[in-house]
Amino acid sequence: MIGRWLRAARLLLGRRRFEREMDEELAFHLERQEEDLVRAGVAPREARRRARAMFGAVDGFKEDAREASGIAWLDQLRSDFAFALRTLRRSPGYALAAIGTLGLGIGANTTIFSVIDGVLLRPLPFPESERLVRVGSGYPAGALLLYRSEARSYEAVGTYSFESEFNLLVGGEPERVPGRSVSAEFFEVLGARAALGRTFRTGEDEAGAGLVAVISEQLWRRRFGADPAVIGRTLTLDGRLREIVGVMPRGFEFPTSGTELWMPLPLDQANPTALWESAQGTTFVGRLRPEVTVSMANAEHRALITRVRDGFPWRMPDEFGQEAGNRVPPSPRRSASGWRIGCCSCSARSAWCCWWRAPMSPT
Amino acid sequence: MPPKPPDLLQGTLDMLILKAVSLAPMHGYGILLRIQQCSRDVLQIQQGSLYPALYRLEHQGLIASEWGQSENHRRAKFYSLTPAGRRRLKEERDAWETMVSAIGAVLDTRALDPGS
Repeated sequence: MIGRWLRAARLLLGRRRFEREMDEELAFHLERQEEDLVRAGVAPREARRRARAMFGAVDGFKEDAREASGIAWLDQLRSDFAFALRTLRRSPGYALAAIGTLGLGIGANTTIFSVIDGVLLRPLPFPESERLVRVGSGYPAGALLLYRSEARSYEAVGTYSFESEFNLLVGGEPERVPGRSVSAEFFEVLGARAALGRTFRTGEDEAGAGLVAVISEQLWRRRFGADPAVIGRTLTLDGRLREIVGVMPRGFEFPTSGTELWMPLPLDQANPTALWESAQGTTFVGRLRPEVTVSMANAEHRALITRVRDGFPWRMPDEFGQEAGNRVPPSPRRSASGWRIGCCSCSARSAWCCWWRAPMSPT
Repeated sequence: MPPKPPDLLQGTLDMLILKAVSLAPMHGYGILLRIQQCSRDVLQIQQGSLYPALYRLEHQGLIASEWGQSENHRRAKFYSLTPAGRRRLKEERDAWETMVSAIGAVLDTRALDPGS
């Protein structure tokens, strides 16, 4: 069956050659017949005539041969097409309406598909992104300390703060720049590496660590003239001087498009109030161990909720964390929709940043 | 006037072509000669009708073609049997023989013995 299609495709491409070879083949036949007749004593001219008569109507057989080779439909297609064009030209109004309808329909479908593709189908642009999960529905940063020491489902868990803007000052020129405070593991969880310099080191989100920042490729170009020696230079963020330790590669905009700055969260253990304040709410993101399924991670998460509740420096209501949304989202086999992580501005281009494809469980 | 040679039975041309190319690759004219000679000129094929049949068999993958040199050093298209063609030939031949013996049996029937 496939072989037959291949042959038909070859014939389509080599239509001229097909005709030439068929002519050559039939000419060979006629010549041989003619020669045999001459050898049998027929006069040359008569032999030629008789060879043709014995063969029959050449054009008819050629047409039959074309049909037998499965290429006659090509000629029919061509004449159908010509007929369609003539008809359309006769009624241009109708033609325009039809073309417009088709164009709008195809355009709308393409648009919708590209959004769906970006939002739901395409995985995040990180290595083994199927192992990335959002954990829970937003916890205070203090809970990260518990997850670091207790959670066994993850190779690493990190957090990032809600979207915020910072006052950036470089060379005396101020600008409002969207950025995120993140835990030291944030980049490691994603598997993202800096294009220049480095990302954050363990401990850089603790009290007393040096003030550092990682910037986006875009910011690096806009404010630092793509200076390859930018590492070690400083910028002022909300009035505090920070050292630039890394530049992310082009296109890295996690967790939302337009994010241009990342700096370490202040996880000051000496100040539990700040650590557990709800204003410090962050989104947890984890990289599952290869052998851990989403449901295993979820079971662990449910078990850790009460310990998070009891970790607050003040008494929390008993039902803390019991809301349905507080879990490791199920695999898409149970819920086909993606899940949303803290994102306020969503454009079609960056839709993948706002939505995560729910991870497939490895079972 | 000699009796008109019998028309080729519908469908048997394919089988004859497959048989003709089963021994060695052959060009169209060679196939024609072989069929006529082997049938001692009883079977007459309308020469041109050979080619649609050849093209159809090739399209069905039962024979394959290749350009080569003829006995008198001219370029000619040679047909040979594919494995699928070999299987088809056997099927058609079996079916043909079944039919011939069945028809033969019918024609050989004698008047029924009135006593039975």
